[in-house]
Amino acid sequence: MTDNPLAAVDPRGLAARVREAREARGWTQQELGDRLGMARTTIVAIEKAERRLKPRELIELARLFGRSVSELLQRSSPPEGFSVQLRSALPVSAPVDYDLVPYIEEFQHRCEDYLRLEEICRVPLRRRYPPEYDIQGVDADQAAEDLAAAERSRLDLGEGPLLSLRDLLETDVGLRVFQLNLPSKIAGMFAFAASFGGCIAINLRHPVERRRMSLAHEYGHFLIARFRFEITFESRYERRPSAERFAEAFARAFLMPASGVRRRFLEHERERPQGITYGDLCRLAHSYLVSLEAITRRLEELRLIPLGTWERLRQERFRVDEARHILDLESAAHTDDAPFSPRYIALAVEAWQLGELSEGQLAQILRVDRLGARELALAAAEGGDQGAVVNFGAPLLSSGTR
Amino acid sequence: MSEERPESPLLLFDACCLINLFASGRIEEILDCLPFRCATSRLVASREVLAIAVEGAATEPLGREVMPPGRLESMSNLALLDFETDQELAGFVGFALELDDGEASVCSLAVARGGGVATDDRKALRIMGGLTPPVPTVQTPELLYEWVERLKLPEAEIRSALRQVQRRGRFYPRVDAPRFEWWETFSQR
Repeated sequence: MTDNPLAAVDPRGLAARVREAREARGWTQQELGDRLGMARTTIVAIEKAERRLKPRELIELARLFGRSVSELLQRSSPPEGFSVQLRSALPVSAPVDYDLVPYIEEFQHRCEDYLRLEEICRVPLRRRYPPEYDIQGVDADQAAEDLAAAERSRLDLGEGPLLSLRDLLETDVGLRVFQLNLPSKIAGMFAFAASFGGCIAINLRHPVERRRMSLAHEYGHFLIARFRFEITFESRYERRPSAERFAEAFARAFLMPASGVRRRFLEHERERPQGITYGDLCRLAHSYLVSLEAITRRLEELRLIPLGTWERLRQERFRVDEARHILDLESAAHTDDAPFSPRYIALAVEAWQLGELSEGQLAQILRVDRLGARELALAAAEGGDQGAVVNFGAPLLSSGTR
Repeated sequence: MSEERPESPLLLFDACCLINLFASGRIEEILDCLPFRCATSRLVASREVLAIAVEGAATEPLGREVMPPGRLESMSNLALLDFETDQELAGFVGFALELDDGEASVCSLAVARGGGVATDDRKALRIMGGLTPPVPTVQTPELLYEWVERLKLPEAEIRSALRQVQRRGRFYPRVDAPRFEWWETFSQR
């Protein structure tokens, strides 16, 4: 080992990480210099990769930033402008009274980790992006209906419910989807970088039905403005921009396609000569994994039930959770609280099995402690017998048997 | 109290191995009878979460028992080592290019002070084995085997300890780990 192992490190990548970590702390170069006992010009030189850090200095920097040394060393260069563009996507009128930077940074780090896993396992995420749609001059609601139908057709989805939307968007479209604990007013974020492709973060604090709606909403944004960064707020304001109206209508139409919803509704109606019941509405909402409000408004929109039905239910203080419990409408799909997709977890476990990630790195990449990492690895790879673990990286067929 | 063994080789424990020993329920006793000067880094002691599953919890979310802060410090048979030289700091940074901070600190101290590393981590084992000269490594099954052999423990006690490591530490040795056969034999009896 050389006297300074940092001599082998790409100086520009490390410099970019130092700058990013400083900015995340909200410190000026002068402030960081003061804390390190260095001149501002030295910090400038470090961030320009003109001065190589010494091991002792790097350790002190990591301590000041509250990060691990390995994190500063092992992360690749942050993609140009990712964080800046997301921050600038914040609507001027957005009700923000907190610091968004840590959430944006975590979103970016998850994208980086995902890319790193794909590089280790050599399985890049296949992008099956449709051409960007132009909805200029078209009514937003109509465009949303048409586009939702076109996307369902392109992806061979038929007219039924989309039970695993996250998996679908990841494996069939090639978007990276994460569930993060975000401030409650934020529904989701969308970002695009050449290296990552399209990336979506959904607020894990929201109920699963709302998360699915947010995910479809962000997908709608992606379809019409792929390179535009977006932070979507929970909003009730009346005059929404056309792109927002489109994304909302797209989410409804994509998750609850008109033909399928109409057919199911009419089936329910035929079985109920006395008319559709509250229970039927709850079951319909459950089958599409959407909220009661979403399905009711959709049925109103499709003119299958009278306008104002949802308002009436709301005024009657209809208790959705209680109804769902009584009707036994709980399912695994309704409790999808995993921060990472099954593909991400499988890649992480594979990288660990290959010996390319240590246990500590596996835990860090899965955002759990070591025991949590072991549990996830066992759950992902257990072959039934104690300790009989499937090696994800092993080829299924040897070259001679292909 | 462990006897003074200044002539014994130094063995640095990483968090992975410490969790397994903690899960066995016999960590102090095991450390006490090993023919090593046992140690870990202060960084591991201060930053790593040494958690094990609560016995009997079969459903999610699992209960956790976290080793209380200060327990490692209070162990008379486990020294906590700080970096003392620039060589150790440079070694730490060098290993942190490939491992996480806890693992890197243990490896650096072992190399600088001529010790071995107690770890079950495949990546750490590969890196230690690839150094010139290779750094000796010891894995959990070997540590427990040594303990069992020295104390001539009855079969039921061995089985209980191994199963605790499996259940509470969620640890199963790899088939190519030293003493794997022994582990399998006793844990399944």
